[in-house]
Amino acid sequence: MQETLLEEQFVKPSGRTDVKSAFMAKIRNAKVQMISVDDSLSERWEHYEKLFQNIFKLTIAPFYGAQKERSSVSTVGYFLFSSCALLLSVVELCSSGARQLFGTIRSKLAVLDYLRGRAL
Amino acid sequence: MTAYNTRLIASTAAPRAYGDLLEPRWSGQLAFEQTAIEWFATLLRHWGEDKGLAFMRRLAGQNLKILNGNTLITQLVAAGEHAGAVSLNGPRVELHQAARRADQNGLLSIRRSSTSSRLASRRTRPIPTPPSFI
Repeated sequence: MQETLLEEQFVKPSGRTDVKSAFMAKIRNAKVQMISVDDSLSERWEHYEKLFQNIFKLTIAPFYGAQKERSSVSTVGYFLFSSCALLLSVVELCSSGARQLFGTIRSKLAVLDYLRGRAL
Repeated sequence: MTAYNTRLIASTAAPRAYGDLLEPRWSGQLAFEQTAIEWFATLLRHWGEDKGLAFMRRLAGQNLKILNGNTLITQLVAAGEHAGAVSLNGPRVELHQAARRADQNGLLSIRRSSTSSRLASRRTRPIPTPPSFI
């Protein structure tokens, strides 16, 4: 979950800070990993992008043109190669990012179904 | 996941691990998705950058057929245009297999890699593949 979205989604609409506190308590109990969307996340993703393009001699048109899109793409990229099971929100998705994301969510949920089956 | 065409590759000759893709017999036979950066990053994180980059550099020397789109690559591997694909979107392959099963004419076999994700890498046994997928 992108931490910065909590303000927009749970505090501003109601104007009640206790809503955020209650929600955050639930999130922490559920062991949800909070991701701060900042330049370090984008830089980590771009590090892999550059290595990939150098090794395979590819030039990929950038997915993003603005800082907001860059953050979204980086967040999706982080999720795709992390062990996170579910990404709860992103700011904005370009269509290619959305396709990748939904495909990966299906894959990761399939893994969860499998693990759940094993646990039962 | 890695995929191969079962008409062109016998199951006994199929790659069992990513390292097998570096064998000379795969040169020029493999399709590769041009934006598979998350796959690339996953392996680098799993293996570490030294081992991961060494593998990627050797893989890049395998005369890969670089294409755009998992759907396209899935279809081309199923059609026999390419013997295999380095990494494909799993649900895309399964959708294709489901369509093929309707014709009772399965063309693709999938091989889940133990390093395709960190979650998967923690398994001690491979995910059992339903018999109808093979």
